[in-house]
Amino acid sequence: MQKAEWMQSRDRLRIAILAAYAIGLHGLERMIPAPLPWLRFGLANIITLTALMLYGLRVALTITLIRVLLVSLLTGSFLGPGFVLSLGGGVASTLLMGLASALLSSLFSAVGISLIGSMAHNLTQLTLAYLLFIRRMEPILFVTPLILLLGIITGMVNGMASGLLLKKLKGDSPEVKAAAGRES
Amino acid sequence: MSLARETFKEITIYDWVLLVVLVLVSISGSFLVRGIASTGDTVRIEVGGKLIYRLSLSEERTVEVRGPAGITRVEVKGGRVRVADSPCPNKLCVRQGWTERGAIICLPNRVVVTIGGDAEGGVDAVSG
Repeated sequence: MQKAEWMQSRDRLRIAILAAYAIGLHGLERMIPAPLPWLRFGLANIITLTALMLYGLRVALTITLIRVLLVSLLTGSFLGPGFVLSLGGGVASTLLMGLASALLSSLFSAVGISLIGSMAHNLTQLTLAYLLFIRRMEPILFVTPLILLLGIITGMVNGMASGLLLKKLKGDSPEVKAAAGRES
Repeated sequence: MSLARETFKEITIYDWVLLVVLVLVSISGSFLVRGIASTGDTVRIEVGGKLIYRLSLSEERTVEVRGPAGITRVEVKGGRVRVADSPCPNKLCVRQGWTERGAIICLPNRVVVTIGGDAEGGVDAVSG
């Protein structure tokens, strides 16, 4: 009983710290001017993916929900179109990455999982944009390939960053792990 | 840095296969949509799925439409169209600039500018 409680509070601490990192990265990304109008780096996904690989789907999903909710409250976009798309994309990509890492982890490294997450994110957002806001197929179809292609690049980069982070964390003891987390 | 090299080595053959497949799919997809991307003389301006203006590309004109976020100004000039001003926060639509085929989408203000695709129900059959 006591051990279970301790586990739970340890999980909460992890969620809090990782969600803070995710929000930080998200905020950092908003400050970088995007070189292309449709390019989104999705840096917060590095945290989601790392959390997923280390602590499982429940922790990763909680982090995603906290990030989407807090960022939308901080930027004043809560319940707006951007919020709906963020929420849909974030949840879909986390769930699909969870599924992929559970079923296909023998095939794919973090990079493959990240690519799958990126595809899920973009396709969900495009579908939501079509269903809720645009209601016309042609403009959506026109931007889809470009968005997917950009998503492949960012998914690849984020996956490698996550792989590097995982390697670094796994190479260290739990105590060093916490310290390394605080440094970076 | 050796850690980076090790991480790179950890990328599996299936990762690469997935990468190549996705790149091929999206590149062939872009050629596909380029093929179907309508060119034509009409400019349709819609807000929230409702047609507000139907203009001619060859006729120089600036119009304003009201969406949930405010007023979007659309400019037609020299066979091209652009969103000149928009109340949306990220201004993706404005940054897209002058466009002569396809579409401009402003999600926050629900404005969709489509070029061509007005062939009497042809497109509506697709989007229907």
